[in-house]
Amino acid sequence: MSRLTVLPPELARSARPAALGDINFRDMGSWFLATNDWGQHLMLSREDFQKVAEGRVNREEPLWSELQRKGFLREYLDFDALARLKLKKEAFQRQPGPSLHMLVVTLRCNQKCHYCHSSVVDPSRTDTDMDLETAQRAVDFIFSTPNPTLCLEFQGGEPLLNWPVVKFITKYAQAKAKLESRRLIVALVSNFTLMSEEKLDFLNERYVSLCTSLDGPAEVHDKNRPFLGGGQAQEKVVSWLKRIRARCEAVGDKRLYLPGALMTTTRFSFPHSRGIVDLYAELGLDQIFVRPLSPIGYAKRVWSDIGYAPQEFIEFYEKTLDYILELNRRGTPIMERTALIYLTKILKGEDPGFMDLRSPAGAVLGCLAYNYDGGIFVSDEGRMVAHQGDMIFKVGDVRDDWESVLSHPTTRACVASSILDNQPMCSQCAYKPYCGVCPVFHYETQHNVFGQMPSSAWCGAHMGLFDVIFRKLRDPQARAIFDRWMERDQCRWQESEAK
Amino acid sequence: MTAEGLDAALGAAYLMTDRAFVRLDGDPKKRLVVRLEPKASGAAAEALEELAESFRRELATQKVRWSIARANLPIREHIAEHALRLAAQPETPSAAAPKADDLTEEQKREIDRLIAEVEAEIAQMSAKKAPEAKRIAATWEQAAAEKTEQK
Repeated sequence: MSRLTVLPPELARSARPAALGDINFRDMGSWFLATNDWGQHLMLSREDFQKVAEGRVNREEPLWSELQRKGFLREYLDFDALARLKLKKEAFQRQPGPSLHMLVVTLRCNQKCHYCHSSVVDPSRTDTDMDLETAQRAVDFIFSTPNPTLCLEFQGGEPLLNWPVVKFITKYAQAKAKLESRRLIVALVSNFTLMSEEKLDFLNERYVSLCTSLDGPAEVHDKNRPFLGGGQAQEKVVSWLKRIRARCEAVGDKRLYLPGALMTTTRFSFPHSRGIVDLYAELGLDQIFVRPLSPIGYAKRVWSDIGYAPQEFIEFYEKTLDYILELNRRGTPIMERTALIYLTKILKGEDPGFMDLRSPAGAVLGCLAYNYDGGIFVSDEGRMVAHQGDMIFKVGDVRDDWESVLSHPTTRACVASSILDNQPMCSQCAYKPYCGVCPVFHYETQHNVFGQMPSSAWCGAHMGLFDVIFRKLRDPQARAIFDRWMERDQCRWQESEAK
Repeated sequence: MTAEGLDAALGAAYLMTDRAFVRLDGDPKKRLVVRLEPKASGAAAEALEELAESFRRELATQKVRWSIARANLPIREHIAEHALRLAAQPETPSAAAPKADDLTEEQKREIDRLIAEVEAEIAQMSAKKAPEAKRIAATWEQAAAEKTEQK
């Protein structure tokens, strides 16, 4: 049986497809999941699903009303309501340009992480620093793109190694945003090991959002992310996370962002799921983001040491999520970001702004990555491919204009290949309304931007994650916790909008 | 064979590609011959029969999926068009950027001040020489402290 799942043979014969509305289905074992193009879902017992498939649901039954309300009955569709659901679910398609702009201000880094996507270089390689002219042109290019809300994210390498340019871009972009009355969010992704009070003063003064990498307890973090030449990095990260949080709380300025952390899952993480979650909870971080690692860039070369099969990740994810739910039941309200992203799509019918799970993908339409030399790439992963010598995902330069980037052949190829209706398996998948594919991932792992979903690790991982989330949604206790997370996350976004 | 049957056969073949090489032969309008070759070498006869049975089940389900898809395509297109019409309606005041002319004099003065500050900083930083390679691992503060000591 394929990952898409099949109908029981007798039901494949007795089904009356002509009577059914738009429906993609999935056999979940003891029940069936049914979804439609408008993002509505039903979790049906096997008996109920059979009745639906055979067109035997009577109008008097509560199930009939639910089928009708959610747009599964072809003869009773509310076109206006369904069109509005589609608009809400795909609101990102109406954005006039990318909102997320990732700036690689240097490739230099003082750490040598086993998985580093960014394929960093030694701290002595100043030739990989973005210079001021390129920085200014990058900001000018970003402000030539039409989205009224812009998020500039400093990445690297370690961006603090090119601190003058980080400062310059922040000031220059904020001045331009003020001039043009555009909403601007500036974010710094750093390993924090080069943070100082003076830098923090500047970052707080400018309301820069701060995020670091924290892979868990020292035995995991320091194994994944060793300093160049040795030394313990985790201690420094934890110390700065505490200090930054304490400063935010002491100042009491609601416009300051509490520091966040991102975790990368390697094979080394598997035995430590509880320890990782406990550390995040202990540090007062409101959420943890349990994500699969992609074999792109440097990680591809060391995949046999640190990588894993999608199923291994899913098992780790479910175990970790179960523990997070257990902590929530015991009163520690830590949230898991992957679940939140999926739940926002499934339960609220909204796009949470996660570029990987969009149709078409976020490449160029939602995000752009700027290399230190001014090269513009469809995404940060596309830039990492370039670092291996293949420039296929380069769509321009900061000296070009936005229209040429938007109409670049690579942009068009990425869009065409990531529309799920263009994918033979995705177009029939019950997770189609919520999922997305990454052209760069498939180019790297399967040598073409469309990929081949039956053997795709991307598909394996995301399908497995959706399975976990939908199974949890059947558990009333887990559902209650998820509802609380959604409410808290909504408040968080509203606060963020108000900043 | 109907167009639906061909789509279903192609769909089932695609879904087998993680396990088998699938060759389709024959006249799509009359009769298709499907040959499955397992990707795992040395598969036993039972495994081959299992593969064939797997293809038959995929094919039966594909016929249902394709029938639903074909029957509902005009509806999906109609709703997508309706959504586009709704999207084209004028929205309430949006976050679109107002022109610089809309800014107050005070705002304009502040922006001029910020831009001047940035330009001065660019000029100052551009005049600086690149740091020596051996000192590049030092933090910005360490480098600044060293300079102060040198003075």
